[in-house]
Amino acid sequence: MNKPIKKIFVVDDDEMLSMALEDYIERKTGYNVRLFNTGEECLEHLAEQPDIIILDYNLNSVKKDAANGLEILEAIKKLDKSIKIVMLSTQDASWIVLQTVKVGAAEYIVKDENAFEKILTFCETASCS
Amino acid sequence: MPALLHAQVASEQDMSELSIQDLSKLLESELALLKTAEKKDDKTGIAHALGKAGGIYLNIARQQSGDDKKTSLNKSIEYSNKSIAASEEVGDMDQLKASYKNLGAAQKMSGNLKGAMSTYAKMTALKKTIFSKKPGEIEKKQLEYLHQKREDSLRQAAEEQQRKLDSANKTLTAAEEEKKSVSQALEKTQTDLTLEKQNSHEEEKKLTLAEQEKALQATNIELQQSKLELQNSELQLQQNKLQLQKDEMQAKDKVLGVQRTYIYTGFTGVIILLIFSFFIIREHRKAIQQKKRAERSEKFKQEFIANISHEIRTPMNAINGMTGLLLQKGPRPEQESYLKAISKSSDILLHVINDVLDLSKIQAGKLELETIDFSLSETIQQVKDTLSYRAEDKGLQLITRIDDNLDDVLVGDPYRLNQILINIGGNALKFTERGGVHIDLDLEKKENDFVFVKFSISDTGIGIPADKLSTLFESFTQVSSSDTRKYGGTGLGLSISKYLVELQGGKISVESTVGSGTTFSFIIKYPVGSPTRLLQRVYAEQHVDGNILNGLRLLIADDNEYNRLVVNETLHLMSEVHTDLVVNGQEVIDMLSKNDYDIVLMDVQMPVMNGIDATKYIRQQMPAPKNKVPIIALTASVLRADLDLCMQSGMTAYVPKPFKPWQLINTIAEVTGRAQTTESNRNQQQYSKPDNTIGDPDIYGQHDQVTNRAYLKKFCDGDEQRMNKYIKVYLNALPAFFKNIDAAIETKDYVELALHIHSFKPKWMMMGMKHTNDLGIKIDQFCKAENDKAFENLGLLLDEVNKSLKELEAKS
Repeated sequence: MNKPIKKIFVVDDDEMLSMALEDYIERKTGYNVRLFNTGEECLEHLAEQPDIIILDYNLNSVKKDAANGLEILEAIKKLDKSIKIVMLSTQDASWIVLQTVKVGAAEYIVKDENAFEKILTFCETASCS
Repeated sequence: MPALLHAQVASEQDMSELSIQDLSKLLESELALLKTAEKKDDKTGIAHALGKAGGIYLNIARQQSGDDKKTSLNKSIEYSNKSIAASEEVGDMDQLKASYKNLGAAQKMSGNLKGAMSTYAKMTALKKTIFSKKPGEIEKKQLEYLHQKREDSLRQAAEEQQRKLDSANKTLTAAEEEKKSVSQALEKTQTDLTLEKQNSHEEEKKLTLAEQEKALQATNIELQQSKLELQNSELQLQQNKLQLQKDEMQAKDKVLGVQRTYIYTGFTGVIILLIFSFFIIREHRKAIQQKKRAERSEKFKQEFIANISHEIRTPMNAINGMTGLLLQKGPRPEQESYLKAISKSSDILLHVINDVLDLSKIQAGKLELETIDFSLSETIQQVKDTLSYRAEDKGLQLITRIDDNLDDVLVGDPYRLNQILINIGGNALKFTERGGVHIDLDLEKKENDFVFVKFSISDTGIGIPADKLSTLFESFTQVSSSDTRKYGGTGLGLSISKYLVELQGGKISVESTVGSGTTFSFIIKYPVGSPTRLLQRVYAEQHVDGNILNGLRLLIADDNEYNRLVVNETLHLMSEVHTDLVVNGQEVIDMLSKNDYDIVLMDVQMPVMNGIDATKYIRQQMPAPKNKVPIIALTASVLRADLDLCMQSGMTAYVPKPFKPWQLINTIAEVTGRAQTTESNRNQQQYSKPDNTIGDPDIYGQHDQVTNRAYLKKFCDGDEQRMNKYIKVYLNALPAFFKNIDAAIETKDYVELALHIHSFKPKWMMMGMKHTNDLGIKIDQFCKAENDKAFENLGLLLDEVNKSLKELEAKS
């Protein structure tokens, strides 16, 4: 059975994590993964119609003037409601979880040992748009 | 009206009916009496006459106008004042009161309201003084005065008599002297007579002698009269003295009488008091007995409910648990549908039992509300989820709406809110055939940190007749008895809902039109809650990972075979634990003596030895450390009294039956110190997860090293080249990390420090640096609290990062 090829954007300013996500998802699923360091870059490429965007919550830890994950999440949801967005964060503060889910995040995953597994499961089970 | 001329007749009421002329006559007579009293120095008489005069002037004034009235009022005031002074002097309280009253009235009439007020105040104070004094004192004082007065008048009379006696004595002395001189004269006359006889003037001399004898006789009579008078006076004096003694005696008698009256009164009072006390005590005893009876009956009722609850919940636990287990064992599709039907039915049965228990708890005033953070939207969604299948079955719409202005996270009891909405919403669906049910939540008002949420549940159903609205909320009531057969249900739902709304400070109301529908509404005031707290709680409940219990040795005691199975299977399905199963408390003690356990799960009601007794034995008789083993009560009772009993016997915690797997896991984790409350120990637990994911437990083998390549190896599927690529990225990132941390230390910038530590956590995770990661979390928390310990811990973290540099450089 042929898996539908999904297009996945990863937006994270952490070099290692971006690299790991791209590596892991492509290796395990064969989906197309594209990396962005900032949310602004991701927004510029939204016309490429990704199926899933894996979005870091703290996008301004390296580039201070960059928009944070929540702002990007809102912007994406305004432009295209159909894109499924996974919020990724080192924090598990519940109010943040609630906040992102309210704005429209499909999933909130804490960056821990099981994060890659969880992201993989999400990508595999999310239906293709 | 001659009778009226006597002041005694003229009471206040009499006077008000008299004409000015009559009153003037009365006044004249009173003033005359006053003069007499003044002459006699009769102070009480003076006080009375003055008072009466004041009163008469007042009554005259009442019938006058203009200057005349003014003059009369002034006179009334003058006399009343004088009377007050005189009454005070003699202590005549009645007259004092009457005079104050007249004075006040006169002052009021003359427009001196302030004066009148002050007079009335004095009068009131006087009454208080009278009442505050012991009655004996007043009467004694009056009596003393009367006695004194009587004594005075008697003394005066005695003095008068003495005076009379003295004058009578004088008269007597004078008469005796006269008699003496008469006797001398007689002797002389006799001598003269002898001489005259001798001198032949005998006849003339005889005549003179006869005259002189006559005079002597008269003198003698006078003397006798004087003596008589003297005797009379003495007699009177004695009589007066006697009267004085008699009066004294009477006065003493009176005082004695008053004292006797008081003694009698006091004695009667004591007897009444005793009788009264007797009755009170008897009533009190009766009340205590009744209370005891009521308490006993309440206890029986509670025991009955507890027993029923246990009897029903125990098999329910087995049914629910077994069904759940079977559903997890991959049943065939038709088996699955049967199992789900069993599960649903047992849920409904449990619901009915809970309804009955709730009602009995409400009636006993023992229902306790939770105060936890909850999400309004989530609660409504749960209500919708629960009710939607019923709506779908009947082809009805179920629409929920939440006001955008409402805060989502509130503090209160979501379970009870859910219960109310499901009860009322379920009812609405039950009695609606066409259309649908709306559940609307509106922000009624907001006050500081409180919101008033208005809940409205409207349907397009059959409606409720106006005459049934009042009994709608009574227990076991349905609009018609045939409804019970047609629509089912215990009829307790609305009654419970009403109580629950009231318990939360609201009031439920209903509007209905037969044939077109019904709307139930109520307002509940909630404090605005904290989303953080809410999610922490939800996380703890939902993200239950049975693996946190791995390695534990458990002893499970339950006399019910199915329950043992449910507990055992649940634990083995979710975690890697060692379990031993026993059937009563005695076996628990035997097993615990032979083996070591981390925890005992103990049913409360068991044959041979129950859970409470077994716990007491373990705590009191067994040697340490076995007497410290955590014991969790598995109890079907939900009554506070039973739970208290468990805790008192020394049990550590309890899990209600039937339980949800997460309840069991969380409680065991909590009492064994494995609770997943913070990110760090959650990570720890996940590291130790024994499955085939990349979070394998054996990634931590060498404890002397800060890094562990097992995680990375698993992630890279053992591809060394790939692993080195990641290690290189990590090593390359370190100089910037050190630089950023140095800058944060220099400026003591907690925010920057937290940010850099935080962003490095995924890298440490990839490098298998669990301890460093934990330190990072700790520092992060200290930073948030702006606590200097952040910098203290930073030293340790930097050491480990430096160490990781060496370890990784050596291997790559």
